[in-house]
Amino acid sequence: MDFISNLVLGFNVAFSATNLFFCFIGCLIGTLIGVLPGIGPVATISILLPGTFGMDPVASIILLCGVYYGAMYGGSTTSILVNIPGEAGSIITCLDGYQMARKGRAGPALGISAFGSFIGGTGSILGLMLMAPLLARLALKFGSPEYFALMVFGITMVTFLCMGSIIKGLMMAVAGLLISTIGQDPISGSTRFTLDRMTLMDGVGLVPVAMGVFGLGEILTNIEGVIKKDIFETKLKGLLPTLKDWADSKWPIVRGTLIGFFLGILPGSGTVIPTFISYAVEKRLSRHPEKFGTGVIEGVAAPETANNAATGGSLVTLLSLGIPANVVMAVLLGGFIIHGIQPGPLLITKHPSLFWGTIASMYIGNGMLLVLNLPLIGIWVKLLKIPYNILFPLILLFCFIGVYTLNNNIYEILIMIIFGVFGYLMRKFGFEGAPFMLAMVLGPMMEINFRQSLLFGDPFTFFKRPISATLLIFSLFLLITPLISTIARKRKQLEQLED
Amino acid sequence: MKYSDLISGIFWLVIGLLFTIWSTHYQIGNLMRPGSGLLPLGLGILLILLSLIFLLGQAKKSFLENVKEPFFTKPGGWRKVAYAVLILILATFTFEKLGYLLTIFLLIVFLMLGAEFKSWKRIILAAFFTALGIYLVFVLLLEQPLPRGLLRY
Repeated sequence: MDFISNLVLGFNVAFSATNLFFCFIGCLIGTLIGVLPGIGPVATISILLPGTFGMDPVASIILLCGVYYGAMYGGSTTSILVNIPGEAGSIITCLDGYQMARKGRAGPALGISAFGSFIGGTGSILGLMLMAPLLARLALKFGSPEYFALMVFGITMVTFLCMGSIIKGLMMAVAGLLISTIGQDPISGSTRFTLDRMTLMDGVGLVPVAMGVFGLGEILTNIEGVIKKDIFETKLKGLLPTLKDWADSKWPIVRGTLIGFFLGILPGSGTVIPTFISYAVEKRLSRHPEKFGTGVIEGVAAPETANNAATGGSLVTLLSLGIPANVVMAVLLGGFIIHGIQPGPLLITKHPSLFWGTIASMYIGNGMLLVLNLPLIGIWVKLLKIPYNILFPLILLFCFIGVYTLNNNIYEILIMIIFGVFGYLMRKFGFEGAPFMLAMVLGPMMEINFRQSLLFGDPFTFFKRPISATLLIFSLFLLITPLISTIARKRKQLEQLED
Repeated sequence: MKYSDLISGIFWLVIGLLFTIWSTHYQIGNLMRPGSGLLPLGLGILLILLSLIFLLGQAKKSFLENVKEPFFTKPGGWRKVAYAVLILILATFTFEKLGYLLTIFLLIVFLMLGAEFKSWKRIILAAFFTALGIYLVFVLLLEQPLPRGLLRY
């Protein structure tokens, strides 16, 4: 009964005029930046953060969450119509989505991705609603060693799931942790690595760095080789998928929801990996795997469902443990902290209207997006025709003003520029930003829990407690696996050479 | 080994060394009583080790493959990037002196010039309306205290 009354409370909160308005705005901005390549949810949420400072905390979290799942809806539009993913979670959709558009079936492709997104999105909110309180209750039993181990596990997962080399991912994670030690020591209060600069006393700000690495860094990469957009000129008609389309997509949608939600919970998987895995699963299960990539509807339905389902999953660990599972969640954590709310096991009991209000708003938001998206596709297509050299000065300007309004400090703009150049070079040299950013956010929490654990007087305490020991051993296993497989591969190569 | 891997490996090695040496200026303590320098010191050493493993791993590869690929996707592309960064840095330092309206106007003008816009009329109009938009949204609607500088608004 508790559950129902909590949900009723949530809907009461979410249906207030202000919250409905911000939910709508969040979804609209989310879809917009999802459609536009070159700017993603991380940069947008960072830009919006300072603006939410004066707002009610519930409304601001509803707005920022709306941007996140809204972007997943919008991302598919560019993948299908332009063959450029508007958002990283829609990369795989290009394969079959664009081919469907070329065959004159852009309508059903866009339609099924909107419906799949809706089903995946709402399904994952249900999962979030059921799992977050359970996990929060479990987390109440966690001490510092468990929290430390959990964060080590999170960072290891991010590096393990990196698209590139694990060693590069690890280097980025360690660099992120090092950057997080700049500023005040969280335990003794003394300052470290600040060069006597006031701006660095509070540490390197999360928002300037996130905007630099993911906003400015992305833009600089794009202006180096200006994005060429070749919009497929086709009359969009019949957005509703046919009965056969539905029959083909119903199981991919169900599987996409499950894969997206459960992988979304895993730290580091974000919204990209679930899409790749759900596509691969569908290809393997399909009776006609050879047709994947030529424009089959399952290849659109499964990943588009999975990326939306992952948004609900990734909120689980943030809301119940206070640990962000991916970079967007890390920036969202910044949103909570701005309002003096510490996400963690006590969030649900201490701020029930925030937790249940956000969940209810996500149901409403997903409904809004479904209604919004299909009729507005024409407008999004027109937006896509705006050349990038008009868009990028505006995006740069928003980053510039957004960072300044955070603390009215020009040195934070400078930090953004420095990390923007860093983000650009990082892409050039084949390093990934996610482990860096996540480690930077988790760094201070990790250090506090690490040092508090050591104060128990036993450096081996991490391995003497079952939960932390399991998590640390598992992390070690994740790091060693690729090494073992490399050695095995090398040995095989040698044997072949000797033969 | 790819040239870019050599540079990035050395870069992280230097960063690791820098943090390791710097951390020794703070109290290190021990594993029972950790000081504020202990974690950065450990992380610095870890970064040095990782960079060395990375460099050695890449050096071994050189016998197997010798990859040559262009670093910049477009010849001269780096000039556009350097130009945008330079304009942003200049805007940062003039922001408080010139005020937000003038800086935004000039920022948009120079960025659009860099983006190879030919029509001055378009550039001026775009810069004007952007500055106006920022005034309406950030100053009037969100009441953010942006620096006024030379102008009164």
